[in-house]
Amino acid sequence: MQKDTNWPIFPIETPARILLSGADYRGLRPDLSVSEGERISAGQIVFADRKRRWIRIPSPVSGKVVSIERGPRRTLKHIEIEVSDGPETTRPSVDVAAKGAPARQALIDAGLWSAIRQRPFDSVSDPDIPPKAILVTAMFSDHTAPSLAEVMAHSQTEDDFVIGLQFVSNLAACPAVLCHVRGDVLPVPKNTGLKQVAFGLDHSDRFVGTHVRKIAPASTDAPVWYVNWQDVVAIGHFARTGVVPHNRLLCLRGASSYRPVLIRTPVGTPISAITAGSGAPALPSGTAMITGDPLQLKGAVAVGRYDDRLSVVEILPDAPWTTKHPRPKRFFQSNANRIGPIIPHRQLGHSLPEHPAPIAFLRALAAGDVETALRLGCLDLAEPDVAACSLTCVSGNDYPALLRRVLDDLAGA
Amino acid sequence: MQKSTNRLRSERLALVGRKLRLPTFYSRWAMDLAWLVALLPILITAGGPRMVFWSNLTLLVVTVLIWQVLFAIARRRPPDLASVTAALGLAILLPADTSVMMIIMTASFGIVLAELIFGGRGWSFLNPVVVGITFLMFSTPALSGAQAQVATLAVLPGAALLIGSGLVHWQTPLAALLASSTAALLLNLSPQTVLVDGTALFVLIFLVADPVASAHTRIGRWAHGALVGLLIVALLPASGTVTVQALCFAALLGSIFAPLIDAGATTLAIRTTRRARNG
Repeated sequence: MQKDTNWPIFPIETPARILLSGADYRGLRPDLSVSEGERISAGQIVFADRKRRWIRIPSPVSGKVVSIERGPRRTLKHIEIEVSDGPETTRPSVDVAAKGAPARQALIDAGLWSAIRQRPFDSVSDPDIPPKAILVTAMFSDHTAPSLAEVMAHSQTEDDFVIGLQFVSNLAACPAVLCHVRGDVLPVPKNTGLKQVAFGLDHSDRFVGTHVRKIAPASTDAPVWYVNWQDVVAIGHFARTGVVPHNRLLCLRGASSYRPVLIRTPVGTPISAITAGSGAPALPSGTAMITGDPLQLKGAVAVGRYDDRLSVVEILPDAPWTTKHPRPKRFFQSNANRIGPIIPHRQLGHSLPEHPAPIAFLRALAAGDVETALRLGCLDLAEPDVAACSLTCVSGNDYPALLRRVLDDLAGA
Repeated sequence: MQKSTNRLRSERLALVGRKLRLPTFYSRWAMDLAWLVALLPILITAGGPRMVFWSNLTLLVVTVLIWQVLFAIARRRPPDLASVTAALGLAILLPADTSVMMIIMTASFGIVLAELIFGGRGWSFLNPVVVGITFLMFSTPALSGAQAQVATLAVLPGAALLIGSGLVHWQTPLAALLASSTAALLLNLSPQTVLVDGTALFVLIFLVADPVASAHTRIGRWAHGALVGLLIVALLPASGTVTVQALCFAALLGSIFAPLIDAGATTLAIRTTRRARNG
């Protein structure tokens, strides 16, 4: 594994416009608190969920709401905000040592609760269901990202991280666990019961599913909460000053010649603004930048709420029939989107690490066998954990979608 | 979306960890072609100048292709190369004096009952070669006079290709070899009977360790291999020479028990991790 010792952090120029996506929050039924043309300040709540009142999303920037676009079935596609200078919403600082319900309420009021997500189902946690454990994901999702200790020292976020850790571990009466990369020495609060678990250096060691499976398997009555380290820093900063920071660090890497860097930018920054030479290195020709997990290719146009990486991938030329000629008619008609047969091979087993029976699990997903999937631990997993299986399996099955189908069945039951 | 996913596969695989970057095949055609290539040296040495072998092989291939096309049309699924691989495997193990009628029956029985009625390769839990040959041996016991012989050296390149590219796990054949030689030693048979026999090696690597017909959990692979190894020794005739009957019947019983072995291994693994976590 190669590690670049010199990872520069690029604070790119504030983009002219940002896009807040509703698709970042699964099953969101939006309740908008702003309207088109309204001026808003950074930190002001822009939308919330109708039923789950703990999902309240603040604006990362000050500016004017340009457009609100709805998706199908009254979902929220995105809110576009034109960025301009303006005051920041400040809230009274909270008691750093707050415990339980008041601590949870403080995060909900500030719009920070969306940082606390849970397995099963990979949704924003319900604050009223006591969790089995709280995991802090103290790593980038990219396995070649620099050591977090270095990044924190560089960006001077160690103090906020320590306060945030303390705050997060007091959210519920359950063990809190710091999941870090082996060899990474992170600042931790003194005299707390915070446990630390080290994970290896492979890309799958960075999956939340791997952490949950190893530390505390989740169930519907006892969910496991997890928080990303950047949100811990944000929570710490908020607890200390009353201001919610909205910038995120993104690890930008290309498969080939692109020099890896870290980029600091607000949530919702369009990819076009990052590539337009606003500080980040220019893209080589024939490549494109994608946000989020490169194994999933979600095709998002802006940095999402939970993204911590950008990847530069090559654009391969289209197959001739997709551009110019219609696809040749096939003699053997095959129904599209059919489930393909799984031929187990070594790589497929590696794609679902540390699993007692990866092939049986993938077959259960393909067959929609909810009971077997449940027995084999589908509640610990979410889309990113099984994305690699779609790449390595010869069946061409979309395992993230199949897993979600099984999880939806379980959530509805 | 699926198309672009496939075309970006190699590019995105470069972004994941080292274990997923080991060489292997990511498409069905490449995978089936690898099986064909692995079989080539065995076919060439087994066939040689014997015209009977090659005419039998052609008959087998034509028979399975007819079935394959019929099922492809009926199921509205494109055909694949897996059935041709099965036909070549059958050609290797087929006794030389088999009648034309029996060859067609063997190929049809194997490919249809072990593969196509389940939906094709990847849906079934049996190997068509094993099923076809077992059917032949049970229906015409007199045939056993002219046994197929496979040269050990001819199996090795294919074995290296399949094991090296991760299509076949090495644990299954190794467990079978260890189990059979241990059992042979205990029964005062020569331990080399299975170890150096080319036919046995071929059956173990290409048929017993076939990914769709063998156990797929780590413990399960060892248990499945060991079971097949023991069955081979138990089914050997009194003379102690390795026969295709014993090998194929052991392989058939092994793959019938493989799902059960996997279920047991999985339950065991879940229970052990739960105990380790709680304790």
